[in-house]
Amino acid sequence: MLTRVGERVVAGVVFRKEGQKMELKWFLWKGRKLEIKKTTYVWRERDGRELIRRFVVTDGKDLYELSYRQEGLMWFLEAVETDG
Amino acid sequence: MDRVVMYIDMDAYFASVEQASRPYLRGKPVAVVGSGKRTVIVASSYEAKRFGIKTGMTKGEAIRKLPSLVFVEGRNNKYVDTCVRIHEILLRYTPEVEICSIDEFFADLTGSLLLFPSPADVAVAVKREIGEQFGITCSVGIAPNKLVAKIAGELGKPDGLVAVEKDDVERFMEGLPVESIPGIGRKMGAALKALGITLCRELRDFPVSVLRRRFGIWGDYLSFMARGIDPFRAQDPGGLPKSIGHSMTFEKNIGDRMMIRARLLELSEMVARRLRKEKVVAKGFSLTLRYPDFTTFTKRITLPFYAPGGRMIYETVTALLDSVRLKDAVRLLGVSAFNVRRFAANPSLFGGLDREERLWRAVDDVNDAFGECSLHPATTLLCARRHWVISPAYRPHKSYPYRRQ
Repeated sequence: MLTRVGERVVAGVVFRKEGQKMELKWFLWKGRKLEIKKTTYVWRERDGRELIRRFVVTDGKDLYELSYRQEGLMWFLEAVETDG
Repeated sequence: MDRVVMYIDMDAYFASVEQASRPYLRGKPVAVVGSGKRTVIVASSYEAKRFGIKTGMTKGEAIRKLPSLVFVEGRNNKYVDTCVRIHEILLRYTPEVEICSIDEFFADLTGSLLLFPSPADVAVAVKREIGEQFGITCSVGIAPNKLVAKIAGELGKPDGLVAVEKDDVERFMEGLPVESIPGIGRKMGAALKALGITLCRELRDFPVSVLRRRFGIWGDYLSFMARGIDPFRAQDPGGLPKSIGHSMTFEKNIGDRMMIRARLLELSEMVARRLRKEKVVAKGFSLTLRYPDFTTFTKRITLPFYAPGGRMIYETVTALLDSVRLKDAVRLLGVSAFNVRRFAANPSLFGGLDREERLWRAVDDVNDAFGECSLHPATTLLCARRHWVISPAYRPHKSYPYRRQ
């Protein structure tokens, strides 16, 4: 089941120089620190001139879609998806 | 040096991308749809295809066929970005890459083969990179021309690699059904069957003069293609699009002419924006209407001049609408522009670009900066904004790639 969230969150990220990759490690949501086990998909899109990077990640249980807005350097939790 | 063309076709592209990003969908029958109630299936996974789920089916039809089918709302940007990144992978092997559609590419490897052991090695490397980076599979065909490469790629689906050497082309084609030739659909297939032709071998041996009498210039093309000869010239990467169009299916049928006009204005502006992006103008326009019983009709007009902008397109299609007696409310409207040519700025002698053109350039600048539909005609406020999924035939615009970081 997909639930839209759209909340600003704090995220821990490793910026890798090689391949210019961003690796999401954890994010804080509802007072919890969710450790990311795997990033399943990454894509970029534009909202006007702003570049948005979107990440679908899993903590091993649920799927989370996070977005990183490059102009404001802000992270958002866009949606949570639970199986069933 | 013999020409070597590689054809890359992503397997069940939209559905595979969704299965890759949502691991719990893997192995399940999945259909990608738009967000509306009346949306149709734009792509389905192989698990769904096995049960007869096809592109274009309504949600209701699909559910009746396969109740366990999982519907996923399509994400255009995800598919376009993946396409752009696959294109970037291919460009590492050859600079000559043509994006045919969002999930199909041709790569001419002729000039790159001095750098790589063989075309098959390139194909294996490309398949591996795509698999590692996106978790999706593709089918690859390698041949001396685009026609045979495409046929070979389609034969290898899913996740296949079929290579046809120059000397084997005619033998490869012989036993294939004529429908495997791109461009031969159900209608042409039936016409050929009426002539006793079902296999490429029979088409090859059939007198060209009879084919020409029956199909015109296509008769010659068919005879060439049955031999594995590509009669078409390579597509100019800067070539003009044949047509540019948009259509939308509504949540509720629309009978009110004012609402239909508002939708036509929205569609005309969408078409005009794409014409401006492609830097082309058109003089042919069409209006498509679909009634609730799915009867569809299209009315076309070719103007004696190239229309410069959305207002002209809107006026043309509303004139087409006014010439039609609507027999019912409509469930779908479509506007398309054809007969296009490159736009050559034609500033007036004293005033520079005309006022309307300057206005639309300003509107485009605002929308480029703040996102699509940030600024739009007030009349289209009548139209509820909606999300739709692009057709798999969509070809990302060349300037789509992002600013390098």
